[in-house]
Amino acid sequence: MKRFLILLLLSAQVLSAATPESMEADLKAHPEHLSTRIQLANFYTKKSNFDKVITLLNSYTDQLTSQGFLALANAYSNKKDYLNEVRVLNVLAIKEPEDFHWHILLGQAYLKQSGTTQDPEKKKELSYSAVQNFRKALQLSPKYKPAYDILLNTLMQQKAHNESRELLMEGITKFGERPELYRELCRLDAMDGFLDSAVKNCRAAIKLAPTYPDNHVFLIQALFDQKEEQMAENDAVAAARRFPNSEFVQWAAGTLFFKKKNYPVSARYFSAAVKADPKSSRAQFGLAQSQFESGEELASLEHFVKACEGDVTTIDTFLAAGGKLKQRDKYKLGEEFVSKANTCKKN
Amino acid sequence: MARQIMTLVAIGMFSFSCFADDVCDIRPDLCDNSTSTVNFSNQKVRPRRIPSSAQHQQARPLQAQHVQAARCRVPGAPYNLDDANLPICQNRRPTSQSVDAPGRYNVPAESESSASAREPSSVPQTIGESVTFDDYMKANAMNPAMDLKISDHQKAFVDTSKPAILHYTVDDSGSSREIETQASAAAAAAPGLPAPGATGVPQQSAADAAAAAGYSVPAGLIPAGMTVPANLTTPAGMAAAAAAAGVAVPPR
Repeated sequence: MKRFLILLLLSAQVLSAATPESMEADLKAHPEHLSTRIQLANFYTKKSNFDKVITLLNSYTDQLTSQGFLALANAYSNKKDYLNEVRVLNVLAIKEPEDFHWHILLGQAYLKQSGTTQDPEKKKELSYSAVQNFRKALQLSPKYKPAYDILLNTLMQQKAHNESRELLMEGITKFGERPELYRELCRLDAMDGFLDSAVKNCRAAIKLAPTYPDNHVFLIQALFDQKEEQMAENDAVAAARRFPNSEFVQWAAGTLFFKKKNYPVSARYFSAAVKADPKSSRAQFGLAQSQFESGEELASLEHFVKACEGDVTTIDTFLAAGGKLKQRDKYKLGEEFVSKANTCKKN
Repeated sequence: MARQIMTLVAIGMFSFSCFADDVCDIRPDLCDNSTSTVNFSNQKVRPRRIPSSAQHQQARPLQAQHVQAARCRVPGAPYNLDDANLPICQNRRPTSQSVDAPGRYNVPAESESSASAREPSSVPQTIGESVTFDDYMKANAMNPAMDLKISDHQKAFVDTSKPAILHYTVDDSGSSREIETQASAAAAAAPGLPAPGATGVPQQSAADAAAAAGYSVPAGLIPAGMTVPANLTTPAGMAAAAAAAGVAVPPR
C-alpha cells in the first residue's frame, strides 16, 4: 500500500514539475524570482551551458544565496575566467566572512589565476593572496585538515621553507605526530642545513614510518654534513640493505662513498640504483664516474652515454673524462668519449 | 481527465503526508520547522518539508484537527439562527488546488527578499542539482594549477660549494652579459688560434684541451669542430690563449 502511495506521490510530483521553459517564462514575467533563477542556473550547470549560468546570475550578486554564488563562480571556473571567479568568490567571502569554505575556494581560484599569469610579479602577488585565504580558512576552522594540507603544499611549492617549517610544527601540535609531517620537516631541515634539527626530525620520521626510505637518505645527508661520517656510513649501509629496490637510497649510499672517494664501493651502490631504476640518469652518472675513477674506463662509457641522454648537463664531466683519457695515453678511447659526448650534445 | 489527475495528486499528497509523519517520528531533525537544515557547506537551505497554507501557517495542513466540517460558523460573524448550531470554522479543508498547485505560495524558512518569498513552490528541486563545495573542490583538483607536488622531492646531497660556471661581465656598452655568450663569440673569432683544419701544428679539439686542462666547460661554450694546438693543455697555456682571445676563464 505504502509503495503504491509513494508511486502515486512521485507521479504527482512529475505532473506538477516545471520545465526549464516554464521557468524561463516565469523569470521573464517575474525577474525577481531568485529561487527559480538559481534552480534554472543549476539546470544549465548540469547541461554545461556556463554562459547561460553567467547570464542568469551575474547581475544578481547583490541578492544571491551562497548556492547561487557557487553556481556562478563554478561557471566562471569552467570557462577558465579565473579573474571573474576570484571576483565572485571574493563577494561571497566578504558576505559570509566566517565561512571557511569560501576562503578555500577563493585561495584555489587565486592559484588557478596565478597558473595562467605570465608576469612573475603578478604571479607572486596572486600566490600570496592564495596563501592568505588558506590561512584565513585554517584560522576559521583550525582542525580542517584539507585546509592545512593545501596551505602546506602551496608554501612548499613556493619554496617558502621557513613558513613551511613553522606550519609543520604547528601541524604536529594540532594533528599529532604524523609521519607525513615529520617526513617533510626532515627533508626541509636536511636540505636547508638545520642539521641538529634534521637529525632529530629524521629519526622521529623513521620511527613513525620505518618502511619509508626517503627519511633514511636525509638522515644520512644530515649526518654527513655534520661531519659524522662514520655514523652516516653506518646508516647508509643499513638503509641500503633494508631498501635494495629504492633507487634513492642506493644512489644516496653510492654518493656517500663517492664523496669519500671509495669508488669501488660507490660503483656497487650506483649499480644497485641503476638496477632499481634503469632510467635514473643520476644513478647512471654516478656509476659512470665511479667506474671511470676505478680504472674501468671502457665500462663507464656506456653509462656516461645513458646519463647524458637523460641529463645533458653531465656532458661537461663526460668530455673531461675523454680529455683525461687522452692525457693517460688512451687517445683512441678518449676520442670515442669525446665523439659520443658530442653526439649526445647534438641530440 | 484533468480533474482525475488532480484528484490523484491530492490523494498522493495526502498519503505522502502520512508517510512523512512516520519519517518525522524517526528523524525529527528533518522536520523541525524552527531550524534550518545545514548542508555540506554550512549553507542554510530552506527546509523542503514545510507545507504552509495561504495564511502563512507553518503547520501540517492535512492533519485531522485542521480539517473543517462541510458547513461551519465564521468566528466573529453576527448571530444568525441558521448557523447557530454549526461548529466554528477552523481552517479550510485543503483541496488539491491548495496543496501543491501552481500559484500557491509558500513562506520560506530562510529570510529572503519578499519578492523571492512569493515564488511558486512547484519549482522542481531536482531539475538541476546545485553545485556543492565538494564538487567544486573535486573540479579544482583536476586543474593543473592545483598540482602542488614538489618536483625535487628526492633531491639530496646538493653540492652548493662549486663555483658558478656562468659569470657576468660588463661590456663596453655598460650592460652585463653572461660570459658564456661572450666566450662563444670570442672563441669563434679568436685571434692567434689556428683555424679549424690548419696544418703544421698538432691539433686537438678545443673541448678536449679545456677538459685536459681541468676546466669544466659548459655545453655550447666552444663551437663544435673548433680545434686548438695540442700543446695547449696546461692551465697556463689555456689562460694565455683565453687572455689573447679576450675571454675571462672561470676559476678551476
